[in-house]
Amino acid sequence: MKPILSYNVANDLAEMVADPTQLSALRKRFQSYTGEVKNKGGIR
Amino acid sequence: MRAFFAALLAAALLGSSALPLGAETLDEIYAKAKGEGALSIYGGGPARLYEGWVKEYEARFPGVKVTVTGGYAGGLVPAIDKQIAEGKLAVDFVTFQAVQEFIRWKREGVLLPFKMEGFAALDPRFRDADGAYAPINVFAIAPAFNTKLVAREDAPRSALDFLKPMFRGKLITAYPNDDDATLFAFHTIVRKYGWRYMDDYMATEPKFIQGHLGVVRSVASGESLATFDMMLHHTMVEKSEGKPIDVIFPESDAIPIWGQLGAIFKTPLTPTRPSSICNGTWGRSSRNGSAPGRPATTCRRPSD
Repeated sequence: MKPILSYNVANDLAEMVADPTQLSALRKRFQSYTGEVKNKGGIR
Repeated sequence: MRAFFAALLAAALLGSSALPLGAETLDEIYAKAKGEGALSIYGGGPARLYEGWVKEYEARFPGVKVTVTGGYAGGLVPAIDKQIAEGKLAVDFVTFQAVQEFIRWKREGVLLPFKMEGFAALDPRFRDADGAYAPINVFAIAPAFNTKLVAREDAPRSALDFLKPMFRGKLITAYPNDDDATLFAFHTIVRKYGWRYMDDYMATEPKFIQGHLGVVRSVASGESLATFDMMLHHTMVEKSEGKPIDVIFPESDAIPIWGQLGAIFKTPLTPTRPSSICNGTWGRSSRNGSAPGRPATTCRRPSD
């Protein structure tokens, strides 16, 4: 495996989450496809 | 006192030695810290992810008990905000993928600026210039497939490959509306291929599950054939354990990466303890900082 930054990467997570309104709208748009969380994977 | 423990944690994570750090050695700081409390870590994901840290820390600093509270950022953040609002901070160190919370906490002034040894060597694309937070790890999401059920030549090398009929009903991801890493993965794809991709992807009847642990288990077990939403390190761990799973790097699609951030919370400062922190931990980047016993407010901050 090569160093991760040698691949084509998207490194702008901070920009995606920086605006709460925009982030909320993005989540809602995807939720319109997936529906609400039903399949709980569980965490411990 | 909590900041002592958190500073020791940073030292442990980075493998710093007990060599003199300004006016005090790490051992001297440890001597002040041990027996006076515990270190509380809030971490994204299952608490077991941090078992290695805990063992290493407690072995290096006997007498300092470490507790880890795992969970989703969506649950941890309100709990921490409540503690801050009530002035009863129970958490010392936090790490999870919700970048926006670190940005907000920095803006609210509740994070302790801290530049550990080697801070300058961290890629500036992942760290805060003022040292309010720094990456603990860099994570990546990359496609993965079940090597028993999918021939390598059929493994999906682009988001479009997941739309092939052979994967119908056999794809899985976490919920993009629930997990921001998964949201980032979907968002990266949609930016390239448009929202039409989501219509086509949903037509494959994919499964969704809360959390990436379920994703890796589903693909490794063969319940699902492939995913574009696999934490790369999960794939590599499962592969190293002999599970029939492997990563397939995209030919042209971008791989979502991000730094999982960590930060130390400020605690009520006293005239002596914070200066010890300054001398003992920030000292490596500000050796001419405060003298022992001087108030914390005179400490030379990392950004000075």
